[in-house]
Amino acid sequence: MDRRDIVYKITEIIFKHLGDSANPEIVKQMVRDLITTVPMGEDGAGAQVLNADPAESQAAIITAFGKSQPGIVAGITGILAEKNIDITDITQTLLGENFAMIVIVNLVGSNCSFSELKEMLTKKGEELGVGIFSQHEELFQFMHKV
Amino acid sequence: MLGSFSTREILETIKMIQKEHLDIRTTTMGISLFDCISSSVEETKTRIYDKVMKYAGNLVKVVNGIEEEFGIRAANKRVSVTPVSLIGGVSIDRDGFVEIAKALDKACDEIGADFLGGYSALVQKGANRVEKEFIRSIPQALAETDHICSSVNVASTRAGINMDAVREMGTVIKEMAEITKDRGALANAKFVVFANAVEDNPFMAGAFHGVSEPECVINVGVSGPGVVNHAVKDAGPVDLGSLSEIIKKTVFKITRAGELIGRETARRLGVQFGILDLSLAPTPVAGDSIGEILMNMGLGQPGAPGTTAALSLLTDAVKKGGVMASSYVGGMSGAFIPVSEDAAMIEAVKIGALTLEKLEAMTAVCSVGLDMVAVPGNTPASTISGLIADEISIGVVNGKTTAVRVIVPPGSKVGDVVNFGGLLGMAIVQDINKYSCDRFIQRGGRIPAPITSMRN
Repeated sequence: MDRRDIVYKITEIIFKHLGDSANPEIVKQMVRDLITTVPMGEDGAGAQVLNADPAESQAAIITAFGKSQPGIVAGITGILAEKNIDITDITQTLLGENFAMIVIVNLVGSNCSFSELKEMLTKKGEELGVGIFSQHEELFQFMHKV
Repeated sequence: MLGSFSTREILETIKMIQKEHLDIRTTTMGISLFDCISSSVEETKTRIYDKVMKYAGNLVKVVNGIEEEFGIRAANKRVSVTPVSLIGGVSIDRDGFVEIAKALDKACDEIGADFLGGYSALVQKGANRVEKEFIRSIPQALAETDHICSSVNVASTRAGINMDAVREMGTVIKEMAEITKDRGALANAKFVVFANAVEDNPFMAGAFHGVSEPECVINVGVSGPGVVNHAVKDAGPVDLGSLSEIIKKTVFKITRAGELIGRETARRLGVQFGILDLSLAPTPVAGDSIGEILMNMGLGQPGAPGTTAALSLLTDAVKKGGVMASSYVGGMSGAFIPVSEDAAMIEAVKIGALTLEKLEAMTAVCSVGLDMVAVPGNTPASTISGLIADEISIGVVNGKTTAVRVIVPPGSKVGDVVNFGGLLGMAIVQDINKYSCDRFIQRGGRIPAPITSMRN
């Protein structure tokens, strides 16, 4: 059985038995407890399931616009590296003298809060003479995906 | 593609927020005050103050946090409460009601919200003794508070029009203008007379937390006249069907942003998400104007022949685009045309393109009514009542909400400018028909509810 299927089956059974008293938090905890304590299959698939279960993605979109000059990409990505933030996608383009960059990052694992990051990036933008905007990805998700 | 987005989609959102003034116009927490009713003014005041502080204490902090994370401005944070006339109880007289208004004002000030609505009465069929006392307290309550907004519902499609209340409104409006004349009759800007008032409206000055509403809800008003304006402008000379389509698509996106913020705010505050109000609401900032949209649709000025048709297309497209974007659409959900708060409308009034009569016609196809219009200081109370009666009739017969928020600055003449500054903007005193309706208004009584089956 696929690892995902195991989690799905367990969740389904818990929901069935709890009925109306099921609440997402409790179900989540029960699934977690079950797969950590019960060694499933001969290779201990339970633990694997848990480890493979990706943490909830927390994506943010960082955009930078302004007059092109050396060091903008380095300035922004430097901060991201320092804060242990993973870049999942990046694009950069020049329109004449105008610089535009979009970076998509995953905040899971970062060692600072989103507002701290935002403040650092805004400050860096001021130094570099570009506007840097940082927003949670959910806004874009809601506005552009049905 | 970047992740699951195209570069165009990302840039479009950034442009809407940075250049086209897309914002969450209001996040309004509705709070029920029914359990604050008590036998003394002091006790009622204490209970009301405590309750508002308990639920809304964190409102501003939470909304600011969301604003920061999502990078979309949440312009106003507000509170609406159960109509105060209903929680008065037997022992409360006019002065008692003013005391309650002050307690609410103090709470609003302390939580850092900009307005608190619900100093209201619902008297569409008639007013009881307490409600009559309450209505007489409104001018003083508005004069002596900073954040309180008030409304009176005088009519509904099912009840007809309470013309005794309409008559009283003319007097009340003149009185509040007089006692706030040193501030340009500011109290007038915080008082609305309604027909078919809605219980979950998040916008001021007409917001109140209706009697059928739950304990506490978050209602959100999202707004983007600037975004719609740019979309219409960029569309070029397409036919009106295509224009409607473009507006629908644009409004869908705006509304989704509001839906997200509304749900998230409610979740973080641990209260129910009420509704999303789709209304396009202008601000005095250039580019954030309904009048400008009408002009970009092809009118020389708002008020030109064709204005009512253009506005009806706009309002309809806004609703059609918005309903699919939100799980709970409610409130007013149309297009607001508060004259003093809309740069292009102010200009149209200034040059004589937009008259009071044309505005009245426009309100038949949009929400919400004669909003933030100024008339000369010597306008008789009965003429104000006549203006209200006309506007209210449009709402009653058409089964929609209409309202009047009229400013009557004492001593003002046609063409004078009343500058409130900020969100309330700048009103230009408009001409109003000189002929009297006094004998009609003095008759009082109730205009029967209209028949709704023969629709002509």
